[in-house]
Amino acid sequence: MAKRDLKTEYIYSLIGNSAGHKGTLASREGVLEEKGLNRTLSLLKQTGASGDVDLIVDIERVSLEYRLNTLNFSTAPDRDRQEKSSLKAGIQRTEEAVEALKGVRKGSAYKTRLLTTTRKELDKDGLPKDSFRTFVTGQIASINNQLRSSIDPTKKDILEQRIENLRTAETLYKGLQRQALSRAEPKPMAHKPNERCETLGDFIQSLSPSNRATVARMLSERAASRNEIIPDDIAAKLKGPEKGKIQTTIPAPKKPGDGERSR
Amino acid sequence: MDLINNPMTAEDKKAFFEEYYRVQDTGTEEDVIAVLKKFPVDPALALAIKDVFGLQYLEGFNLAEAIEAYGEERLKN
Repeated sequence: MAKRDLKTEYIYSLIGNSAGHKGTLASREGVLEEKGLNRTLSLLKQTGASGDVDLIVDIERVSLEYRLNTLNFSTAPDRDRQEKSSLKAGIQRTEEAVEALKGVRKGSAYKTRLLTTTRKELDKDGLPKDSFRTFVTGQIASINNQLRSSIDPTKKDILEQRIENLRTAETLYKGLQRQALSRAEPKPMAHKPNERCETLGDFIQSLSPSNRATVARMLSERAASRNEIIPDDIAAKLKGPEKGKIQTTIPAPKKPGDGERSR
Repeated sequence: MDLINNPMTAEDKKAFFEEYYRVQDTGTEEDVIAVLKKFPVDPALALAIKDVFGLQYLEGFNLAEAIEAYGEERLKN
C-alpha cells in the first residue's frame, strides 16, 4: 500500500481520536485516547520538522473550525458566545495568513506593498508585521490561554507542539519575506536581544550599524552639551567594524573662553 | 465523489467498537483505518476537514451523521 502523506496521516489521526471518544468500553477508551493523542503529537512534531508552513496553518485552521462547528451544535448558545466570537476571529486570521502566504510568494507584488507600510508596522529587521505575523501572535496567545486550563499532560504537549510549529512557521515566513524583499539574512548579534549588557561597550557592540550611528550621535551631543570627553574605547566601539562609515563627532574638551564672542 | 451514507444503530456501534478494539490489539495500521472508515465521522469534524483540506480526504469514510447534520449539498460544495 502506498505511503500516506503527512496531511492525510494527520486527518486520519483526528478522525481516529474523535471516534475513540465515542467508544463503548470505558476501560478501553483511556488507553485508546492516549495512544491516539501520542500519534497526533508525533505527527505534529513531524510537521514542524518538515517545514511545511501551509500544513502548519491548515492544522490551526482545522482545529478552530472543528471547535466552532461543535459549539454550533451546542444547546447553550449564550454560554458559548464569547468563545465562538474568538474562534471566528481566529478563523479569519488563518484565512488572512493563507492570503499573506500567497502574496509573499509572488515577490514583486509584495515588495510594492511595502511602499505603503508605515515604520511602526515593521519589525526590528525591517520586515512587515503583516497578517501572517499577526496570525502567529494571535494563535500563540489563544493556545497559551488554553494551556492555563487544567488539561492532561499529552494534550498539554500537543498544544505546546502547536506553539513550537507556529514559531517555526513564523521563522520560515520571515525567510519568504526576506526573499520577496531581496533582504539578506541578519548577521548574528554579539548579544541576544533580551540579554542584559553589563557595560556600555557591550551594549554598543550589540547594536545594528544604524542603531549604533544613532547612539553615537546622541552620545556626542550629550558629551558636547556637558563639556565631557567620550573615552577612546567607547569611541572606537561607536565607530564599529565599519570604521569610517559611521560619523561620530567626539568633541575636544572645551577650554576656558571657548565659545565666547571675541570683542 | 459519492458520499458514503451508512447510518449506524446503537447495536451497530457496539459491534463496531468490538471490532475496532480487536484490530487495535492485533491488526496493522491499515486494518485499523479500514475499520475506522465504517464508523460515522463526527459531523463537526467532517465539515472542518472538508472546508480546510477538501472533501477528497474523506473519501471512503462513512459520512452518514454529517449528511444528516448538514445535508449532502453543504458537504459537496
